[in-house]
Formats: sequence, C-alpha cells, structure tokens
Amino acid sequence: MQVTGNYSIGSTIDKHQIFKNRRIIANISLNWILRIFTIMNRTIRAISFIALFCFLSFMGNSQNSDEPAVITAKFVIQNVHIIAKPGTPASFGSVLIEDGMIKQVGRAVTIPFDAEIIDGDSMYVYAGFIDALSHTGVKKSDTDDDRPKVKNPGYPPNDVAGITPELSAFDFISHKEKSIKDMRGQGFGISHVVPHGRLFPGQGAIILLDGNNADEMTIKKNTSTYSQFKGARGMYPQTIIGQMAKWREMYRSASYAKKHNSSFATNPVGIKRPSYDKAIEALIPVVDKKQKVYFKASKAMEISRAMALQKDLGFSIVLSDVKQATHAIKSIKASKADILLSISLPKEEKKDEDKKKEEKDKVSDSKVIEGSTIGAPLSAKEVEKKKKEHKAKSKKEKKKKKKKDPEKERLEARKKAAVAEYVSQAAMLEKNNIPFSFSFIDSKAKDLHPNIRRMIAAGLSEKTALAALTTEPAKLLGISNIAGTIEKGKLANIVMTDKPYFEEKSKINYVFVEGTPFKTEVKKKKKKSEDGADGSADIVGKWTYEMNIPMPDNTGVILIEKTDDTYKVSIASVDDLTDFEEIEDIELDGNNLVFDFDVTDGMTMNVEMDLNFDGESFEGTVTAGQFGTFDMSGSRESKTPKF
Amino acid sequence: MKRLLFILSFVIICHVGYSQDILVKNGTLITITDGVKENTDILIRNGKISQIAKGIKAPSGVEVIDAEGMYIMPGIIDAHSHLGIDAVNEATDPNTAHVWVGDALNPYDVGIYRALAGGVTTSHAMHGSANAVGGQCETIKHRWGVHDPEELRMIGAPRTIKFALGENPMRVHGEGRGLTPRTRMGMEQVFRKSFADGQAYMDAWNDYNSGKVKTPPAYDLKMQTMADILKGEILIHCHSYRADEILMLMDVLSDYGVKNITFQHVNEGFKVAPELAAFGAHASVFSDWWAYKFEVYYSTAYNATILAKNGVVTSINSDSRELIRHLYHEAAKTQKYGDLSDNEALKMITINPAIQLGIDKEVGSLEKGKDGDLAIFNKHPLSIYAIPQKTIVDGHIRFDIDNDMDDIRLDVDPTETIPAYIETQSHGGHSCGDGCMQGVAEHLLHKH
Repeated sequence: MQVTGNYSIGSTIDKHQIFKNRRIIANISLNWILRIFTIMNRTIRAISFIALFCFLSFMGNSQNSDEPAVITAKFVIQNVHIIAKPGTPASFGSVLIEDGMIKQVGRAVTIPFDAEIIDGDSMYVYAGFIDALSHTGVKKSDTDDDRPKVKNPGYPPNDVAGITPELSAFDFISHKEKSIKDMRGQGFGISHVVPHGRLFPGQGAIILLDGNNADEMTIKKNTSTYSQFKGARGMYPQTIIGQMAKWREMYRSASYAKKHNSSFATNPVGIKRPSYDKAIEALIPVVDKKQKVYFKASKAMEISRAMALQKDLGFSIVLSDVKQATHAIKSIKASKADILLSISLPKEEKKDEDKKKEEKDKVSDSKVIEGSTIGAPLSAKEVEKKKKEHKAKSKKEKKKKKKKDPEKERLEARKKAAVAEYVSQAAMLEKNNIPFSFSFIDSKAKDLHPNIRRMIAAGLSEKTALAALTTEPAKLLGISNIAGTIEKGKLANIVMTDKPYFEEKSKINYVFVEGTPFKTEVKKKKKKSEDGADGSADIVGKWTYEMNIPMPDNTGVILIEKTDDTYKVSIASVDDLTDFEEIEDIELDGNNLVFDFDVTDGMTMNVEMDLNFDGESFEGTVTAGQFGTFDMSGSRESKTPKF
Repeated sequence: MKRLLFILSFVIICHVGYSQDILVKNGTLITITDGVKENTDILIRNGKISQIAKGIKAPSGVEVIDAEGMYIMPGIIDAHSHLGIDAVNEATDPNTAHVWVGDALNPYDVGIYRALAGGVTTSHAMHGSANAVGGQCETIKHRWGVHDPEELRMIGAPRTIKFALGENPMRVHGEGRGLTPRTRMGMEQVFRKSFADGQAYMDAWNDYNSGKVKTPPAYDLKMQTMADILKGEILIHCHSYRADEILMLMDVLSDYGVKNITFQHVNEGFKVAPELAAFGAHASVFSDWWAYKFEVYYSTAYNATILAKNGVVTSINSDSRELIRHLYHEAAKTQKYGDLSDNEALKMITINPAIQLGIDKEVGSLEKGKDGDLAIFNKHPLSIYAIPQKTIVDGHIRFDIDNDMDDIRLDVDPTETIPAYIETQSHGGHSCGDGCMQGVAEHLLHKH
C-alpha cells in the first residue's frame, strides 16, 4: 500500500518536511512580529506589516512549486469492496483512474503498464463526499470584524451593512486554507462554498478540494445566493425585524429593476435610464429562479422566518444548516423546499451508569499505579498521597450523590430530551421522505464521522446517510453527471476506508480528488493507561512548545491546569516569560485541545491553537491571524502546571 | 422511570388534540356588553361562542367545565405589550415604518404563558419607542403550545404601527447621533416629513400605475408603509406623555387626514381629554405609574377615569411581562381612584382595548359569534382575592391552575447550562422606565 512519496501531501508531518527542506531564510516569530509593532511608529508599522505579508505569500508560492503535477497520473485501486452508490451492495473489484476520471470499474479492469497500483485488499471505496454548503477554503474578508462607522445608521451603504449579494465566493478562495485539508481528510472532494458575511454575504461556488488556485479548483461559480439572519452592527438592518424588512425590500427592488431594465431595453424613449445598483442586479437571478437561495436557518424560528420570506416572495429556497426542524416538517414538505442538515450536534450528556463506570475505572487505574506497572515506580509517599486523594475524592462524590435536587433532575431530563431531538432530526426527515444533504457552516470537518454515527444510532439508515454525503448534494448542486457515484466517466473523487465507513473504528486511508490521491496519516494510538477514564488524555502539567514559524522556531512554555471538566491554559514565549496569556474554560475533546486568544499590541491578532496530545508530547497547528497556519509541537516537562 | 414519565407527560401535553369545543356551566358571566348573568352557561363551538343561556345541554363530545361559584369574563386584552417577539426596537433610524415585529414572532416566549395565567388571551405585541415612527406591531392571541409563529397571529386584526413622542427618540437619534430629532420641534418635523414623503411616494406610484409616467419609482418599503397609513390601512399607537406633544401630533394628523390613533401611556392625557375626545383619539394608560423619567413627572391615578368620563375610549395596559399577569388588579385601581363601576373598570381591559386594536367585532365581550376567549376566576375579577383558574383561547384551555407545571417551556436549549433557574434577561418590573426601550442600550453607549 505504498504511493510515491510525492503524492502524500495531505499530512502535517509531510508539510513539516517541506518546511525543513526549503531552508527558510527569514527570522520571524509571533513575538517578534508583535515587538516590532510596539517599537515602530504607525507608518513603519504598516509598511513592515505589508512587507511581512508579501513575504509570507511569497513563501506560500514557493511551496506550490514543490507540488507535483498529477494531471496524467494513472492509478488502479485493486481488490476493493466498491460501494458504487447508496443502497447498492458492495461489489468486489478494482477501479482504474486516468486523467482525473474513473476509467473502468469492476472485476476485469485492464491495468496500464504505467499505472500506480494501490492494493486495496479488504478495503472499501465510496464516491468522494460532497459538502453541500460550507466556507471551506473561503477567506474571511479583512474588514469583517471591524465595527464600521456610518454617518446615518438608517441608510448605510450596502457593502458596509453586509448587503453584498454581488460578491462571489470565487474571489475569496485560497487553496492554502486549512479547512480544505480538513474537509478532504474526512473524505470530501467537492464543496459548495459561500462567502462569510452578514445578511447577504454573496454567491456560492462549487469547488474541488485540490488545486493551486481558485481557477484550478472551481467547477462552477456564482451558482447560488447565500443568506443568513445576521444583522449589521449599529446600523440598519440590525435586528431580525430589520433583516426581514431589508430582505423584502431587496427582493422587490430586484423585481422592479428587472421590469424597468427590460422595458428600457425594449423601447427607451421616454423612460428614465435604469440606474445600476450592483446589489440589486445581483439578486435578479434569484428573482428569475436561476439561482437558489441557500438560507441559513438552524433553529426553529429561523426556519419559520426563512419560509415566511419564501412564501411571501416566491424564490427557490434551500433551508440550510438546519438543526431544529421537528415542528416545521409539514410546511417543509408542503413547500417542497430543499433542506440541508447541519452536521453539528449538541453534546451528549453522560449517563449516570457511565459515570459510575468511570469511577470504577479510576479505582482500577489507581491500583495499577500502586503496583507501578507503568512508567517510573512511585515512591511510597507518592502512593500514599494518591490513595488519600482518591479517598477524599470518592467521599466528595458520595456527598454529591446524596444531595439530589429534583428540579435539577427534571431540567437535566428535559435537556437530554432536547439533545435526543436534535440527534434524531436526520432520521425524522428520512421517515417523512424528505431528501436532505449535509452542510458544514458552523461545524468542524472532524465532527462528520462521530455525528453521522449518532444520527444512525438515532434511526437514520446508512443508505440515506451515504446519499446525504454523495448523490443528494450532487443532485441539488446540479453535478450528478460528474460526481456522487463511482461510475465510469465521472470525476475520480473516491474515498477509501479500512472498514465500512459507518463503523465506529473505520478510518479513511485515501481520498482521491479528481484523480489525485491524498494519503491520510493514521495517528499513533495513545496509550490508554495514561489517559483519563473518560477517554480524554491526561494533559495537565508544564509543557514546552516549539512553533515552526519561519526561523528561528519560536519556543515557550504552556501550563495546563484542570478545573472540574475544563482546562486553563497559560502560555508564554521564551522571549518574555513574565507575559502569560491565560485562557480559561477550554474543553478537551479526547486528546484534542482547541483554544484561541487575542494578542493586542497596537494591533489585535487572534491566535488559535489546535493541539493533539499523545502521552508526553503534542503536535498541532497554530493559526496566527492573517499570517497563516503553522505547525507546532511540544513535550511535557513536568506534571505540575507551575512555572 | 420518573424521568421518563416526566418527558412523556410533557409530550402528551404538547400534542393534546386541538379541541375547540367547550361548555362552561353555572358560572357568573360578566359579559361586558350585556350585563352580568348569574348561573348561566356558555357554549363554545369551533372556537366561537355559539350560545349563552341557562341550562345548555352539552352536545356529545364537548368538554364540560362546572364553574359553579366562579366568575367568567371575556379573555383580557392588553393593548400594549412586547410579548412573543424576538426584537422590539430596530433603533437605527428616526423612522422605521418598514420593519414589523410580526416578522419576529416567537411562540416559545414563556411570557405568553404567564400572561395566560393572568387571564390575558390577546395582546398587542408592539415595536419599541426608540424611533419617532417605529415599526409595525402585531396583535397576537395567546395560543400557548403552538410551534408555528403564524399560529400566534390574530388573523383579521388590522395592521398597527408604533409612533413615539418625546425623550426616547430625541435621546437615541438626537443626543446619540446628532440627527433630527434633537428637540420636540424636531419631533414634529420628523412626522411631517415622513407623511409628506409618503404622500409623494404614493403619488409617484399612482402616476406610474395610471400610465402617466413610464418610469417606475424606486421601491421603498418605508414610504410604502407611510402611504398605507395615509390611506387609513394602519392604526397608529403612539407612545406619549406630554399634553403639548399630544396636541402637536393631532395637528399633524389632521393636516394629513389621518384619523386612527390611540395614544399610549398618555400620562398627561387628563389635561387634554376633551381635545382627545373631539379628535376621536383613544387612550391606553397605566393605572398608577409615572415619575419614572422627567417628561412623565406630571400625572395622576385618576387619569383613566378623567379620560373615560370625557368620552375617550380608554384602556389600561401593562407594557410589562409582570403587570400583564394582573391587569385585573390594575383595572380595579380605577375604582379606588375614580370610583368607576365594575363594568366601566372591566371595559378598560376588555372591549376598550379591543376597540383600540380594531378587533371589537371578534373579542372583548361575551357575545354570540365572538371568539371563545374566556378568563375564569374563583372570585369577582375586581376582588383582591381573585385568582384566575382557567384561561380559554378559541375554545381551547391554554391555562389551567390545576395543571400548571413548574417547567412549561416548549423549547429547551440542548446546550444550556443547568441549573437554568434564572432567565438571562430580566423583562419584568418597572425599574428601567419602559419596556419600550428594549434593545436600544447599544445606541446609547455608542455615540458617534
């Protein structure tokens, strides 16, 4: 199962390699960047900022030239279970990929002499997943987080007030966005992406999740209009009532503009020349029903309001990122609205029995420690201390258990029922014969597999689940003829898994996007015995980190403390170990810790860290505002989170 | 198992069959328009009052409530509240005629249930008072239990719009942003300009529609709404305190031929009661609440009585999520201060607000053919000991004191932190002046 090294560019490790190989010549670190800003005056600051930015972009470009051209590559995936489309039984055979397309599928595939052979013995292949709506690969506009000031907040310019239906996602696509890699890692080959923004963010594009620039990636652009109930800040349309009014006004203005344009085109004599308004013009395809409106409507009231606008005005709607449709089923069915279900789900509360089990596990864990079978042997004192701690803890637990609060229990039961309702949305739609696809507007790519399994556990069939990832979005986006199934002549977008995809332990090994293979690194399994009983890693302690931002790597200290169920992280760079950033209330997801903070020093930069812990070390990424995403790693110095 | 039972009981309550037939027997009916009828039955079929008589035999399948010793009045109506809506103020312009709180209805607002617990079956969900010409309002029926916001609307109720005089718009737009209106003179000009622009807009469309002009005017929802007011299609409900401003607005309306107006709060209404009556304006007041800001220092608890005795159709409103639960107490205060009769007092929370909202043909009294909206009390509703027992909307029991669960929420946030005993936002009480200014704090803080 070996593919030429060049092709496996999907993993963090490989990117690391590329960085090292390239021998970067500059000396920039996060703190260095910030220090410059404090020292220099505003003008110089601006210049250095731009210079820095150009430099980083330049580096990005040089990275591109390292990537191989794979246009004519041929691959044969041999001896695999092929699930050609949802609902069909897996058939055993091979798939020949040539020129980015599926050339042959079946038992008798002729293998060209120059084809790379991937032995897929006992593996499973599916059509590459299609994400029906997300911001994958779409940069946020620089001004999005500003609070613009206008003279007259009742009549702000459209572009300041988030009324920008003329914008195109195409113009904001960056092949370097981390989200592309993340989505691809979860099996996606195609995304329908829309711009970030407010009420009318702009128009969507259908893109391939591979390519060196927006041109290469784009299948179709300006395919849809995106809208969401997100008001302008401090100006019209600010509240939901303002947004609803603005929507009606924009749509009706577009209808009138269309009429005016056409009567002027027919005979302009005596008719005032129609004035051009880019926002209104951009909505004419919506009025003409040439573009569907993908309307983000997650909660029940948002669904009702989007449907009310649709009913009032008559455009084609795709209810998007839906999370709470239980009571809207009838009207959705009647209106024949298309529907995209959000892949994000509320967290499941742990059952009491599970908690009890955890308690037991903890006890057995501590027994193991007592016997010092793992790691360095503990001194007698330490063993005694542990025992005491454990006793004190279980006493506390017992006390807690005694105090039962019936009101709290009722509230918890209702919350649990609410969670269950959200999880069963997919099954409910299926039961009502309403076809749907999945959207990822406020979800993470990695939520897909666990959440789709929860939906299946709540009654969704695997067939419909797979259709929602492949054939349904293909149909909705009008690309059924090129994607959504494994068929001769279609795009070679393929997902290969070690077990049937919907099984718990199923792992994606390869994702092909238009014939280009991406190998997924399977992360080393963490040693269970060192982790907490709930499956979350033990991460408390003092750690040192190393950020692989261009030379020299920035290093520093991270202190991680645990308080109840959340974590507190304090982080400082070696450049100034007195200046700790403190971030509280962080949740640990298994061994993955994600948090962000703002660094302010003349300017404000948001820094997000996404770290995966593995015993005494961690690996991950740091995203520093607009500067980009860099690799980061570290190791534990001590288990005491003290500096 | 207890948990399961709890969840199930909730599911059952939410999905109870939607019966709209009910017979209430042997109660004392306070009809408002046809006297008090003791020991009388009232039958509701398909949501409408179908018969009021003694000894009505229950048709088969109709639920019977024995109301012996109880008092039954028409469902209480609040002409000024902000319940059941997710937005109150679009405080971005002195004129926001284009926005409509009917776009933001939310049947999950627990305030609706609390109002039902006070016998209130209909309320006027209003836009706030941040703007001179505020947004359009919505008259809602308290059909607690429905999930579709459309089902809250009172179908057939006329369109209404909020206007506001005085300090609130002056503070938000004048002081806050340096726009007109900064003074009460500016207030008048905002109204005059809005009406003049609306008139011009209407004329321009008439010219286009009649073929006189070939170029269509630019579509403007705000001006369209002003034109609809001029055409008499929308009733005005104006937040007001001072007598001089009340007279000013009546002058402006006369100039533009607009007749339908209810002055809200109208704390100095007693000073200009004859003028209000002559204009045909209505008044909706608090029973005894004033001096919460400078422009409302001068008022009296006799306001409602003076207005009523001068022939002004007067109602008593809540403008509060707490007061709405005991509007019957508020009505009773007119007896302490103004010595009104029982019927005069109760008219203030039934037929009078119905007239002000243009829904007096449907609700506001116990009459054959009207909506089956009843408030059932254990004592006379003007007694301090009165406790609402059941509240019926369209022939359907929406509140029952014998089945009043602790946690009545219809929508539970699956990500909420428990315990969730305290609501995040406090809407009750009078401390902040008025409920009308919800959602405008931001504008007061950010002065540009």
